Amino acid sequence: MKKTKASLITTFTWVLVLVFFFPVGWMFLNSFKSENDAASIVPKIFFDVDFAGFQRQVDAIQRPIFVGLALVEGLFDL
Amino acid sequence: MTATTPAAASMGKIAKKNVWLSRSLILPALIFGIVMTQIPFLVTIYFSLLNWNLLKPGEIGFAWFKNYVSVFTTGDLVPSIIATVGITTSAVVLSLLFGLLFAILLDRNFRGQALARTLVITPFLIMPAAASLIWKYSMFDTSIGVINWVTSSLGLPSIAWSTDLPLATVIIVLTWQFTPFFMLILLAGLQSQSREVIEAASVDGAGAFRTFQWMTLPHLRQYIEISVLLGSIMLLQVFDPVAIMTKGTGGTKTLAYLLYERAFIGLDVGQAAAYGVVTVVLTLIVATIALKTLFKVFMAGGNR
Repeated sequence: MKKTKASLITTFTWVLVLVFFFPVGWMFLNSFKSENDAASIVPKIFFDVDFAGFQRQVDAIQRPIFVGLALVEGLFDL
Repeated sequence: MTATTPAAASMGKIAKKNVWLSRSLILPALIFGIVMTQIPFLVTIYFSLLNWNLLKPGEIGFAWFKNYVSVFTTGDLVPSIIATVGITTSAVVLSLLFGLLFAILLDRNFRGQALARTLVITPFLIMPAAASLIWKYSMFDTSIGVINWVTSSLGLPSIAWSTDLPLATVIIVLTWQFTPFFMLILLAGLQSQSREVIEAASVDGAGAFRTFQWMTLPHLRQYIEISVLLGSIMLLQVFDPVAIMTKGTGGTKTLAYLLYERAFIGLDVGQAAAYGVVTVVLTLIVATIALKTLFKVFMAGGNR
């Protein structure tokens, strides 16, 4: 009886934790979706993995990183 | 009056010298702090006395207290204070309740306890702007949002959250974000409670609810007070969910957003600066009261 009660509370805890975490988890899943899959009206749990979003971010930060490196190199050359 | 020996006098001199040396060593940091925090504030006060609209660059001039008069007469200030207080209070109360629930549930020993704690803390760790964007598009959106998909699958009408229920939307997002903060403080409080006392209570025949009401809750009191004070200070400056989700409509125009609106949408630098100064004064009053209470709580905590 006591064991059943404990496992019921544990289940309740996990359900609550997962509901609470869901938005962050969904963002994580969406980051691997293509634009169309991420904006589908019926939410897609299974989808083709697409790294286009990450690719865009890497492309966007590439240049400032090189500028930073050049600055550091310049400092060491002094 | 006591007579001082020459040796003692020279010792005093050395000590005095050391004090000045140590003070001068702090000086760079002090100057940096003053430059970074006080000069912008002085500049803001100066701006607040100017008649400066970015659309009329030719008409910059001294307006003296005209901006302050308009702050108090245009009638935007009071609704904004009400919105700020309302949003802060409801978010703090809800976060406290959920935080307490999570703290109690996660204080038990169960499978994957560490993982569950980590998952619950994440909303507090992600950027406020990112959190608002997740809720705006992935959760609350009328066509692609998950929540509306769930409600429509259950046969309920879909809700345009950020336009129909703007206040509730902002409060939900803030509660979601700040629950982990309250949970962390309350969990620390729960873990500092001695197990023997609880065991003794259960031996004496106290049920779970009575133990909680008469032993755990009084023990948690100081933790609740501290979390409420710190949470209120953080929530008073809330800006991101308002700017991203509701744009200040439907009674969600907090002081921070009002200031932003005057400066970057109204393009009236002078009036925005006046709002800023008034906000700082109001926040100072609230913060002084809050810190005094906090200090009292600490003193009482030491005597307990």
